Amino acid sequence: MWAETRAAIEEVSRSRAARGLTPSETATFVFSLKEPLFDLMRQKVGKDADRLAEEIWTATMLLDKLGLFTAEVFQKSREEIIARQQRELLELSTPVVRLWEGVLALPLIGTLDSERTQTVMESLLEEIVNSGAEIAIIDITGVPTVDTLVAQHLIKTVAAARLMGADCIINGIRPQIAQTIVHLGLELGVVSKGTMADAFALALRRLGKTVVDRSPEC
Amino acid sequence: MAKSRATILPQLLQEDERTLLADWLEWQKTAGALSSGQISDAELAENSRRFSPPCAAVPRPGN
Repeated sequence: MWAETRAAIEEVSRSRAARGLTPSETATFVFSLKEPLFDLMRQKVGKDADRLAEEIWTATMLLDKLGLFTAEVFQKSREEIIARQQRELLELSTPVVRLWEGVLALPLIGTLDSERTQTVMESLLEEIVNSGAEIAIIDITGVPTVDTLVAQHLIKTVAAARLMGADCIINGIRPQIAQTIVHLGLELGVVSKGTMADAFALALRRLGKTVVDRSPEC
Repeated sequence: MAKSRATILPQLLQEDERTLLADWLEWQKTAGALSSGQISDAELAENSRRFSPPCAAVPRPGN
């Protein structure tokens, strides 16, 4: 039966956490039982002060314990929601785009941490397998910083893509990132271009494609 | 304080369940349980009703 009480509280706490209610609003569910319960105790054993104190103490201990459990479940539920949203955001922020037959692009925006870089690698490799792409352009124009760990992840991504039969081109390396890579003594071992347009043009040349300007001469 | 006496809590929760539930709901509403608009009156009553019966079998603290 104690398990049933906990289960009932857990359900209420989870439901309220999911709806964005505050921890106080959720804990009030349990704590507001004190007043009517104490009133009832006063009616039943109010004439015996010792007994009343003892009963109130027992009820307080129990309800406080249940209130704390409510707060714990609420916090855990919120953390689970945040973790799920982070995962979803991570997936949304690492899109792999098919630019052309055989050419993939990964436009990366925001800080690259190890977890995100790992997701990038997995998404890229999966798309290389699915599309049979020969070239992947990794656009890091929107990446503010690259540390040793992230650079190593990028190197591994390039190496893994190569093993899958695709060459990588990195574009958009900002001056600060270039300096960092040089200071760290890292060798990316990959062709880099200034812009996505340059990288795409190189990719097309490698695939033997030519872009022809058919606009009428003025 | 005599600790050997059994608590009347389970008895109260069972025998006066209806009164207690009604009073508890009123206290929750007074405390602003419905003010956010996220919970309906009916849902609050259902949550409280579901929570109340198993409470009758809660162990004493420390058990």
